Amino acid sequence: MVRWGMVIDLDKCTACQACVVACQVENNVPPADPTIDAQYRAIHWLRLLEYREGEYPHVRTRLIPRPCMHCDKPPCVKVCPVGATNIGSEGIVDQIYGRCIGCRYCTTACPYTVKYMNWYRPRWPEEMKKAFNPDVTIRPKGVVEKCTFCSHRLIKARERVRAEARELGPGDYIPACVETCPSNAMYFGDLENPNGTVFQLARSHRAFKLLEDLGTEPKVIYLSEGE
Amino acid sequence: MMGINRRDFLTALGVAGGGSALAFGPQVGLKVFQTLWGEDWVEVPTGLETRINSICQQCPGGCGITVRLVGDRAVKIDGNPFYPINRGGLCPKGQSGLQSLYDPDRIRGPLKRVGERGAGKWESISWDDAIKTVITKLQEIREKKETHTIAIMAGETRGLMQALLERFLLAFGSPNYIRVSDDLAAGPLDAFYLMQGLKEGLVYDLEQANYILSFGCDLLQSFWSPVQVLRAFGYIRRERGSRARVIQIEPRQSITATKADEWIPINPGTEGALALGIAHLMIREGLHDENFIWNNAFGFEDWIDDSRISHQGFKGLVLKEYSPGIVSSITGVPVDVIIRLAREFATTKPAVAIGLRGDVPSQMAVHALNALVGSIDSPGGVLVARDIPVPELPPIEPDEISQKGAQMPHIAQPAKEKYLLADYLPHTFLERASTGEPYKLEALFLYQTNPIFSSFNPEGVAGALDKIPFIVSFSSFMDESSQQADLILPDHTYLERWQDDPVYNLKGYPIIGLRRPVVSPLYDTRHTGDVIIQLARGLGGSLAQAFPGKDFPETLQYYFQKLFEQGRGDLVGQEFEEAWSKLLARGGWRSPSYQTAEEFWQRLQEKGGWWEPIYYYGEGERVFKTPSQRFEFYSQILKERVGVLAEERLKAIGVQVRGDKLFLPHWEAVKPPESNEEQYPFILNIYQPLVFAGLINASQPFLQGITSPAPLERWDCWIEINPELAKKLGISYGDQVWVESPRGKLSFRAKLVEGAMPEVVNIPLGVGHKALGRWAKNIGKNPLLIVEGHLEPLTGRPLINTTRVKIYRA
Amino acid sequence: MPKKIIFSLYLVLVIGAVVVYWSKIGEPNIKQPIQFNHLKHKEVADCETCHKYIKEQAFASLPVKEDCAACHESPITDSPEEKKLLDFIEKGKNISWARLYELPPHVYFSHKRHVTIGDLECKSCHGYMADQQSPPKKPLVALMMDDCIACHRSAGIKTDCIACHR
Repeated sequence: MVRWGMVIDLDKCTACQACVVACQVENNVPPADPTIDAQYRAIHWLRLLEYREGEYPHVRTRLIPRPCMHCDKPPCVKVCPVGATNIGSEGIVDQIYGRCIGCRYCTTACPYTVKYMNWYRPRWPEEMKKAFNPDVTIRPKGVVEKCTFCSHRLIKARERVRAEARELGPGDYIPACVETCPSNAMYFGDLENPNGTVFQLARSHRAFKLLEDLGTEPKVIYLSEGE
Repeated sequence: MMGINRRDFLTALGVAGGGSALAFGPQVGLKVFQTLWGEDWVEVPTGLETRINSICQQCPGGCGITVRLVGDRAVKIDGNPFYPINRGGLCPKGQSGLQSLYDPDRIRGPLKRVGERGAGKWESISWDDAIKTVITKLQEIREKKETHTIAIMAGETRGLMQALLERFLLAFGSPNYIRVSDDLAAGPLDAFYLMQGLKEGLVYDLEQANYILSFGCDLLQSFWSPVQVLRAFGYIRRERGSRARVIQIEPRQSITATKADEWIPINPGTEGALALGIAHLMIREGLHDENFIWNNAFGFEDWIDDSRISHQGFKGLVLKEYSPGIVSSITGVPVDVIIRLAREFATTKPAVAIGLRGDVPSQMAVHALNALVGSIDSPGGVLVARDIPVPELPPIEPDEISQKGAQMPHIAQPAKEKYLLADYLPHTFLERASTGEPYKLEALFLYQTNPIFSSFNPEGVAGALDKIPFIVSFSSFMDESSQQADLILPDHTYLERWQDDPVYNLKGYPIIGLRRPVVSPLYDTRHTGDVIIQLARGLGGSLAQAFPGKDFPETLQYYFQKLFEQGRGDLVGQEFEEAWSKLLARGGWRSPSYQTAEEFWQRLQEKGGWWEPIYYYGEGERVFKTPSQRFEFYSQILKERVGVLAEERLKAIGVQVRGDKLFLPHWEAVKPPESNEEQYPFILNIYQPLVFAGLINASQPFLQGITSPAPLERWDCWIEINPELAKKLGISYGDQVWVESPRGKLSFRAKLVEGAMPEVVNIPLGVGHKALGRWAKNIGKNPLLIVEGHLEPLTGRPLINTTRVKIYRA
Repeated sequence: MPKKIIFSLYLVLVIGAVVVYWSKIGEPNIKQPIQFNHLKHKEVADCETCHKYIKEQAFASLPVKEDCAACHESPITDSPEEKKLLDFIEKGKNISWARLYELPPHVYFSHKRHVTIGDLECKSCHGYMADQQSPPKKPLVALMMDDCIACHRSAGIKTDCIACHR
């Protein structure tokens, strides 16, 4: 069985945030404005985390891109009272907007804070609606949304390979963030395929997961900085 | 209310809703759903899904893009995997390009000013009327035989568009083409000129370097072609066999410093001194590349010239004046760190030192390090990009009036003795425009530049523009400078127009990209190239004959036809094709992937560009265009320029050093005479974040939304202060603080950052617009308003980080 | 408790009215600009002649005037409906077909996937559309998620939420 996972090499990452913008464009996430940002209600399925340690001049800053971890034991799924968020057979944690009642149990349960409530009706100027991606829906006010590993791309990739009568190969399905990464710091693929890059990198001595001790078993694996 | 509690209400609602859903079935359910969902629907597509290759223009980097279209809507931009600049990657600016195309605040057609200048009152006019207005004005000027009184000010423009603008001026009879470029991103170009004799083509072969020593160059944020550097960074870290070390020497812990292997804080403006300290140690310990210096350098040892006068060499100067102790006291970098850097830099080859375009002696000091390790024209070092072929346009025959006009002095050319190394300076132009010396300007055209925002002296620029009776702007957006125009002839955005994009990559290969329309123009805008050609045809005579095509696309085809005829290079391809081309070229062969000109044009559009992936090492006459045909530690070009100047002139332009030292890399404090350290104790350090580098993208909300990882710190301009210092001054996080320089004061919100030096405060550049649409106007502040803009004594270019300030709570 | 009962009744009435209003515009009465005869066209054309992208794209597409003009350059019959069509073509106006089958916005459905790869017939979801002589006022088949799931299950196809939800 396929288990989709992502590896982010922090040693190669340059914190440029191309992934952040690519995600917003691909998934019809509305741009924030000053009021929404000041309320911490802006939606970024993928965002950059910043940790600063030490005092001048011995300062260490870590910049970590954070998508949904797509945990193998997702706390958000356990708390959802209506089954609006589920983990699929290939490990992608989804969010079914039609079912979501906006109770925000999941936003509280998620230790990585990847779930975002739509506090407002998403707004775009009329002109910018032309850039909507037809493969992704617009989420209404009052539902929770999250990173889906661009699962619409998976649907389309499957369709494509079926039409070409072949199996899904590496590179057929890649989320928007991974596709744009200018320093090739992000990898995406099957965590169960021993010949794949992701499988091998996930077993590197530099590999770690965020908040690993919580037992959520994330499928986003980071590679630490340095030699 | 009425004794109805929540429970009853919900029960009643459930009964009523459930009942009606049962009664009316799924269609009603869907309708209910749609109503609740809101009005924003993703339109059901009506056309096929396609992809078109083009070239990005969110910055001058020149990345290849692939735009996904659904019907006639552009819905996503990604990197073109075949394009050699970016190989499929794209930065956040490139990603948000659709927000420039679909910006609701775009100018939708030609506008004519009604009412006062800058009052923002406009009237829509037709293109015919607009062009007629310009032609009438230009004819008037021509009849008075004052053709030299028009000028074109252009931003980062290159290739055919620049050629057409220059050609238009030449044929009309004016020398006044003024190119405004972004200095922060350019690299030490002045040192490159003084030591290697070349004005352009400076590239660093980062992909093969093993040790990168960056003197304040914010490589990952504000380099001129960001994606190339980002890609190289990932490559040297993990993709190739050995891992390169990156050392960032800078007063601020920038993103580059964060991501580098080591950040070395340094007193602002003393980077040159550190470079000389490193040189001192390398020479003293015999770690420099004697082979390179013996064969390719001039002025390293002391020497005697033809008239038997002995001169000091670089070695003597450095050993005498820049011992680690002295350098440490200037720079604040500990002696042991200097020693370690020198040893690592000298022994981890190939090593490369990258600087900024700051003061000339410092630029030279940094560039000299590359020669000391033999990293000039060698893999992993400084390369000189091979010439990009320039297809010839047919010759022009200006008439007598035009010839006379074109021979007038350039309006922006400073007096010969004032700035020794400047051909023309945008700010000189502005001074001239206000004084009317040596002549008054009658008309100014602004193309892809916004001097009122990007210059150090916005009021001065506005005042100068005020004196020019006729200003035409070609901007697609209502920026600050366009607001002062009399006529706006809006250009298409980059996703709607044809254009070539000549550029070189970090390996020194020439590349020409083809930018083609991805969607048909959304509004009544027109390609500035077309407008220029129409103006020329309207004016008639020799002007009309100066342009080979009837419009820009036709001229572009002509241009590429000429490129085809030159018989060089091939269409861009993948990396293995690069190796193949090289192999062929070594044997003197060439096998392009096209046969005829038509096929070339056709496949060019599919692939996105042309290139010639070959670099030849050891072409001495190409790499060193100095009088000695060597790398000059002792710059004879500078000597020749300074040569005639008398003592008092040197004093007047602020050069304190005398004798041979002046022509050698050295360090002198860039300390403006009027600076008052007691009154203004801190140094203002201005940096450019990636999203706003180039100063044209502030109107795109996706970019405004990622200016900081902390949501609270977006949509404004924050000043970085060291926490210790803040404590001393009684400033806490989020406070409004005044930042006051001798020129004025502005308030910013305080952010306490350990990565700021105690005596330096950091402010980002890029926001603070007074125009440019809803997401840029009145967001943040523009720190250039309080920058003093001291001028480099030799080049006359403004130095950005020499301003002293005081800060206090507002 | 009379107040409570009155309020409940009032609420039922209001909701009933709203639902009736919705059902009025939602269910029974979809009007088309032209009384298109599917049966007649079936004799000379396949479904994908007019619904061009059935086999290649997610959406099937409704014909635009250029598609019609390919055959109807000049009048073929003396039907008044064809006259309407020619009028559209002549004036260069787009034919504003009303969509009969609509998906909720958070569902992704690909015609290509189901028709080309899954080899389903059109009528499995659309009913006997091709045999209609005039445009129906409401969808011939009302599909619900259960129908999708049932079919997927019986064919052994994935029923992950994200196989359809987007």
